[in-house]
Amino acid sequence: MTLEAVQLSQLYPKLKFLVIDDFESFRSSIRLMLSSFGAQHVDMANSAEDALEKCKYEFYDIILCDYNLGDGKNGQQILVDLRLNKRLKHIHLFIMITAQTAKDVVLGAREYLPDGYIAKPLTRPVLEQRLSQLIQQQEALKPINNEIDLNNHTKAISLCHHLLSEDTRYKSWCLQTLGKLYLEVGDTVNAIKIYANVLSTREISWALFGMGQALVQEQKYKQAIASFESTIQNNPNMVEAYDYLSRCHLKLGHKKEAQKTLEDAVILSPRMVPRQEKLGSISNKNNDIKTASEAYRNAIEFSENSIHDKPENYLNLGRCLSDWSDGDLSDEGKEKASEAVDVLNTLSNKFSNNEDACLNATLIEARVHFGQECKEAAEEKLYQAECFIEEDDLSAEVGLEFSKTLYSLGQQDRAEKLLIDLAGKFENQAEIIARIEELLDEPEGIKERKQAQELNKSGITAFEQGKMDDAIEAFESALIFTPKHAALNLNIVQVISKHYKENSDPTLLKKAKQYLKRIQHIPKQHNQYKRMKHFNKVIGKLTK
Amino acid sequence: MSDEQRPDFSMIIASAVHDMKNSLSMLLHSVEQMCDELPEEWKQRQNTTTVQYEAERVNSYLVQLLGLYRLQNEMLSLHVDEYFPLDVLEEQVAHYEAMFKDKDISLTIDCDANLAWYFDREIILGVLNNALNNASRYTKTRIEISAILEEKFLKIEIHDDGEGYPQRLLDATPGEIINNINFQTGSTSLGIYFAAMVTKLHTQGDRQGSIKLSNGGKFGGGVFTINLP
Repeated sequence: MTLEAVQLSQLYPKLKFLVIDDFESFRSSIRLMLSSFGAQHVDMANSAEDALEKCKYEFYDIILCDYNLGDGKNGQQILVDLRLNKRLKHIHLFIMITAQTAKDVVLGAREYLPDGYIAKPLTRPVLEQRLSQLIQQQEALKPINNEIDLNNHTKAISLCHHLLSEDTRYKSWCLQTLGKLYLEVGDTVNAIKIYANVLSTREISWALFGMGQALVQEQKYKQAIASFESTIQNNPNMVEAYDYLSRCHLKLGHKKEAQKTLEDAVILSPRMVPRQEKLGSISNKNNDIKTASEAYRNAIEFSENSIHDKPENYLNLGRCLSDWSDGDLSDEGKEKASEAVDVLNTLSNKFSNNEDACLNATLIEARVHFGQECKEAAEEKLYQAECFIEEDDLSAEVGLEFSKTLYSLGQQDRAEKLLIDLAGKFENQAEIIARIEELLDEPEGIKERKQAQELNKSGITAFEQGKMDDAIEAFESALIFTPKHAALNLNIVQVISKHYKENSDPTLLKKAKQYLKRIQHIPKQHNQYKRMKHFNKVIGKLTK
Repeated sequence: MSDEQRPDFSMIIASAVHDMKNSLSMLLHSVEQMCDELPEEWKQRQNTTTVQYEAERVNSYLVQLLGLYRLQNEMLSLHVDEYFPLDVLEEQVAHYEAMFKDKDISLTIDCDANLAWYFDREIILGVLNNALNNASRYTKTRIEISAILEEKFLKIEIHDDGEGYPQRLLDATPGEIINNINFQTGSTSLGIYFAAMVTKLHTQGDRQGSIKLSNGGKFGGGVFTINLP
């Protein structure tokens, strides 16, 4: 059933329009066109700010928005903003007017897609044609969209089924919506059924993507990865699929693949700040400082004047640059160090009310100076920070930063004591304990950590192959880089205890005791604590 | 010049196309506004439709130019989704409505309203735009566009009652078409080449899209056929 022209002309006077364009002549020309179709309520906005302000006070049935609005936010950002702030319901229409070909507009999250595009140059007959199509569709689907807006998922699902049973023109829309609704209520069985059905006739990106989402909900990450990979193959611009793919890789422990996937996504759509932050954090964990720095740099650049402008990004970039420039006195190293200082100063100016952030910035700066062999400047910064630090009343963030700086500046004992206190204080917070362990194990710079990790890996391989001497040698070389690494020390003790039973070499036993002694300081919250206690006993017995 | 500084030609064309489309929009709006202020007897002249027609042509060439460049660099990827062919045809026809009225050409669409099919909307609009543009130059009184489903292909046909396509075009492969561009007559056949290339990108399983030029059809003129799997 389609709406006749008569009905449309009756509809136009009731609809509220908003036209967003930065050119006066375009706005008035579109307004004239709309009036000629019968529209009576047409508001206009000349910028994103203007548009968002108008939408605060009024729900518009149809928004016509130019994608390119000169400086400031573009049309897509307006759309996201409106959807996020619930100023645009499902029953409303958001239509993007664009001079870009669709290929240039990277597809963001599917829920942030406009309801329709109209290509420039825009003429009256074309606008009339497109609008009538979109209004007809919107009218036909209004009962369903209404229920979705009211969060009545069950009702919306049954309405979709009803419409499907009528052999509707909007079959594909119904299937797509049904899939999403089933996912939202957690009915993965029915969601998968719908997607599988669609996919049995044609590989279509929304169905591949939905299938992946359903599999993620069922925690079948391997299968989900296959779905998202097909989605991307089908539509390389669907950036949301990369995010999901990366998350699946992380769930399976594929850190490298997770990073690579996000890097691809960031090339497609660099302006999404949360994605840049995630890339920064993953590549940092992968010891890829270069990528991490770039990601945090972008996060800072693209979050300017937005809610995403957070001190963490500045601190993280400062940390990356501090690690990167550590001990590098070449011109490149100096450059990195001075960039770090700049970033940290920007933070202190911008977020001067955030005491913890400013303290952390000062502590990181101390490390940067020390890494450049400016000992005095480093001590000075440390002293500056200490004036504000009360050791009994430390937040986890400042505590960790403080101890890291103490390590770097050569105050190992103080750092260790601080960390052990923190472990007691935050013993129920797994994430903080994990970071404490990391610092206790590897307070050294990133270059040392990287080498130790490589050697540890080859040691484990040798151990598994039964090559005890090779294993001991690899672990010992690793310990040169990170001597206090709990797991590493215990690895070597474990190899020795096994090896000793075969050759009873007393020098080996002596070594094992030394290694154990190195890590007796770890707090009981440390994940290697039980293992250490165990080997204390094992070696004790062997000594008798 | 180092690699980093070398400009990406695709980016340059893309942004130039973008700017030019904005300019065309401006141009069309201004013409429209100027026409509204003209005395009645002046409005009868066909100058305004000529401006619109030529603007459409420029627009269509711009899009094709960018598309072909990307095709050559294998950067053109399709955005296939499900659409209603009737909607797409009606939208494309809307571009030419005024002009056809001026030229006394009747244009009809024959397509089931509920017929839905999978293709890249933007690209097929471009192909249709060019085909219609072409047909409007050579037809005498009428054009009909039809869309039906035939053996798992969407078949779109544009019939006119003109002289039909010259034999050299009917015989040529797309490669030959692009190599035989005739700058003297102004008929570059770029549009046909573009259409052949981008419909080929539409694939489903082992089936592939195509175009076909033929003569005869409903009105004894030229027939432009698009097949999409």
